[in-house]
Amino acid sequence: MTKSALFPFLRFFNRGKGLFVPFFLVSLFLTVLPLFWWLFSNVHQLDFSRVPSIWNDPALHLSKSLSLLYSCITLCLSFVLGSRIAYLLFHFRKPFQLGMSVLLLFFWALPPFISLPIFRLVAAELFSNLVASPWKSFATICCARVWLDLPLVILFCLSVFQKIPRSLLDSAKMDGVTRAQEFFLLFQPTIVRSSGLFLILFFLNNIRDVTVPWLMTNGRPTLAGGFSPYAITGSSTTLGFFLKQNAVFQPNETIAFTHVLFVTLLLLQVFLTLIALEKKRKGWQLVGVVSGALFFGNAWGFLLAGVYALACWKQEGFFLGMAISLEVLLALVFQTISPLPFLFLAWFVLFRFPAKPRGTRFFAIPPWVSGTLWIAWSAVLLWTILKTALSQIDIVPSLFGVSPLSLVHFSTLWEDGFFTNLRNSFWIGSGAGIISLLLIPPAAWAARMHRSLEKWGKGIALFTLVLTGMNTLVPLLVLFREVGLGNTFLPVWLTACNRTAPFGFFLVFAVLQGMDPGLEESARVEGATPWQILVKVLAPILRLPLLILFLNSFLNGWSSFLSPLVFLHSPRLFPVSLRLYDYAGNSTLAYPQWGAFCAGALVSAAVACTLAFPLQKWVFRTQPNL
Amino acid sequence: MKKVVLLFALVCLGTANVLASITVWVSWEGEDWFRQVAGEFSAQTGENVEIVHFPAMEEKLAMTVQAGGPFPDVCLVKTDLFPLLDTLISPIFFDQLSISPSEIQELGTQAFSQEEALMALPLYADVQVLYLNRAVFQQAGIPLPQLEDWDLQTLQNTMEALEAQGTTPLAWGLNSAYIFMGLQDGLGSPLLDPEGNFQVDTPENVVLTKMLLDWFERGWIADYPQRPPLVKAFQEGKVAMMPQGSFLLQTFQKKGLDFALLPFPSPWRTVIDPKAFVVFHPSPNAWKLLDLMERRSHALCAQTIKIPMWKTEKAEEIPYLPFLLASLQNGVLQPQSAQFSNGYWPAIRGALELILYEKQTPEIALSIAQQYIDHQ
Repeated sequence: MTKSALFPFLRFFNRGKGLFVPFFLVSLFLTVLPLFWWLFSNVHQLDFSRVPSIWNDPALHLSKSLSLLYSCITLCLSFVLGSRIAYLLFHFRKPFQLGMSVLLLFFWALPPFISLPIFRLVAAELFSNLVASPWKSFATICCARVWLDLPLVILFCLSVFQKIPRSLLDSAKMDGVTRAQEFFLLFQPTIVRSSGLFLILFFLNNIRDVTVPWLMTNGRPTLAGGFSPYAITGSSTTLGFFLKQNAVFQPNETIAFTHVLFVTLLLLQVFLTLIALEKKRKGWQLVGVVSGALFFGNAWGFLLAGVYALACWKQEGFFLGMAISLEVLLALVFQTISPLPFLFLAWFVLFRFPAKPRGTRFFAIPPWVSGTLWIAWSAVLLWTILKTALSQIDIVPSLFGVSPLSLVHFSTLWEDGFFTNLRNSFWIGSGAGIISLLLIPPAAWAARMHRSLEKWGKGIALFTLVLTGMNTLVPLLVLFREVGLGNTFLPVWLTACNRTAPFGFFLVFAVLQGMDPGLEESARVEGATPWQILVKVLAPILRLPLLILFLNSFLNGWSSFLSPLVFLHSPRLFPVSLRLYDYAGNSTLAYPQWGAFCAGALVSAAVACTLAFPLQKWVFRTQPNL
Repeated sequence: MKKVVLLFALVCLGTANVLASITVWVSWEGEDWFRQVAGEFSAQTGENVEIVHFPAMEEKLAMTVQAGGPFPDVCLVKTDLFPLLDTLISPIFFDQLSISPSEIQELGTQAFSQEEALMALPLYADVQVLYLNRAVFQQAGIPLPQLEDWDLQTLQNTMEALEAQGTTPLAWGLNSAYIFMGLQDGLGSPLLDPEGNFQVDTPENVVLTKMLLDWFERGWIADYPQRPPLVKAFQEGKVAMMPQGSFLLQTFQKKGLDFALLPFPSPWRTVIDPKAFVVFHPSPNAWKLLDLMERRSHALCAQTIKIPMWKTEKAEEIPYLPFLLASLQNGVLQPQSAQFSNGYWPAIRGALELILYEKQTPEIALSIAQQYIDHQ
């Protein structure tokens, strides 16, 4: 091949576009291919005579409404409480900050399959039957989700606070502003400005949450309106759990496929609508609203629809108000309502919530109350884990009871080869972290350099976020088996990396966008290649986002449960998650080994927490030491 | 950076798995026993056997079946997983085994046969029994019910007396189809209608669910949605009686708990839950391994207190076996059909939750449950 034939190819790589290729190919393999595989291999299952009735299945719509409500409540509570706790922490003295950061990192690093069974156990001990009523059950999953999300939200808010110039804080102090005024005028607007996509990612993740309802309430109790010939929905059945229960184990393929298709389209619609609202693109808003009308919900959302229309009228003008009226009209005709009101509620609370210091006298109470509550509950769980791990008995001792100290459960771990599981988890986490570092930052930088790639990058990241999940797991199993990579760590690494990709891409891209382009220009003039610029010039500056990206991916890999269960068939490769689930994670176990479970949880969390610990150095870097 | 890439490539290569000669997937109790027999087999034949214990066998098998593999050579399953696999597994070839069909308990043959071919090699079975905490009865000053006059009326009288003493008389996960199935087959209508379909919407079942609702409202029965808190409450003396599988016997025995056993009061029937090996990839050595496992199974049954599915001369080594065999007489087998696993099971759970917590009338709840089952 002559040099002239190779020229376009070489030019492509010399201009740095080549850095985008690995990310693109991996996304193609992990997201696009399995998705189309799933779609085309199942489309023949569609029985068009039955599709309308399955599409209008009340159980599915109830789950949809519950998920949106769950996502709204948990997201708002997490951010409202998390931002305030972060604000308090920001002003804490150094030793308290260190103590709190250890607690935060410990619970951030504790995978849900460990923390939730303990949460469930302690909550059941204190509040008895958690599924005795629909409201109790729904409140349980909301509390569990908020508790799980708070460490990440607090860490996120603390890192956002680094953007506030020290001089501004000093001037505010000299002007005599109160804490509440400082929060509402300086801190909250900074969070709102920085968190747009982060909030949307959270919102979508919570809609399709499987873990919390699965481990806390099993979707129970069933609601009268949620029991249809096609599916069963309880007051804590989120859409993710709905799919797990009603689609994965559903032998009737028409019902299963229609359900999965519905949920996939709904997630896409929710995402596009939120983006349209955030970006204020009216054309897209109209599309979002009208398409939203296709996803009918139950009638109690009419009130919210009214609020939605009124607020849109006031905020966005006549055009959007008309669109909402159209939606309400459609909803009236079909006796039901779309998810739009829920979405708008979330958007309004998160992005348009008054930044003015209204109600400041109430400000002083919530941060302390929420902070104390979070610390108290986390301390109770930590105490339970420690006490059970260091006791002799298998059942969890009561909160205030005394039991003799013993290391017997740690020797059980040793005998069961738990350290092989630990080593495997370490490899899985490290592999996922390294692959993420190798794929995502180069792609984000290539996207930052070339506008055409920016659109591709964002599109791929969003596509991955919205459209992958339980539906792509089985096609991936087939693909990896066919290429001879079944029963290796590689599929688990790649799926963990793929889960991190949307968050990682947007994180690195946002940081790169905010950087001075002069630095890379100078390096280019000096003759550095794009790869050299990335590794030698940008990487040292990007240490914090790269560390966050690595840790996020590492923890995703470390705590993954479903992908090791599906891809690995050899006990020599099993990670900690499978071993601990075997001890006590499974709620149907006849006699769980809580002692071994808590000992394993402690070891596992300690390793992950130690790895995450360097993060606190950056998070509290510029605290003002008031 | 080159070093990182190199290290990473080495790890990739390092994790590449060398497949074992025979792979056996197991779940539930007896992991150590399986490894021990596999070790013995390897020593005898030189063939490597990998025992893989999966904590979530249902999820694992469902995903693997959807993906079309990879399947192990042999897998231990229970009856409700059987419909998922019946087209993928090999029938049992007795000419490859040193054991004969006549050595299998009739119950085992019945549970795993399809069109007169045995599709899985039965290993053991659990049955449901009623556990009674002696200390609770003692504290309440109520004599333990005796087997001679043990019937539904005695159960109700006992519950009433215990409730009057402020104790929770009887508890289980009230939405459990695993327990309701035996109640329905004994006190309601038969599980299957004459056409062989699962029936729940019947006048007899309406009466049965009304009775359960009445017990619930009187405080005679309590709901423990998850098994671990129920077992803990029973151990701590907060619950006097609980209907559960015999798989708890070994744990209670190890813990030295002072408990008594009774069969379910007639006509409430006990549900029989057998486990068996299915063969995905038949090979001479896979058959030999199964042969050895079946021959050694009495040790597993003695260790974990199970009913052996093979006629064994060492039955006296298995604790409680006479009691468990007597319970079998009033037993009903878990059916092996997709309509049971994916229809009856979730539908009953939903219907019972509606009746107990949503105050739905049994007539409506059972009618919706029937529609759900019919759509599967």
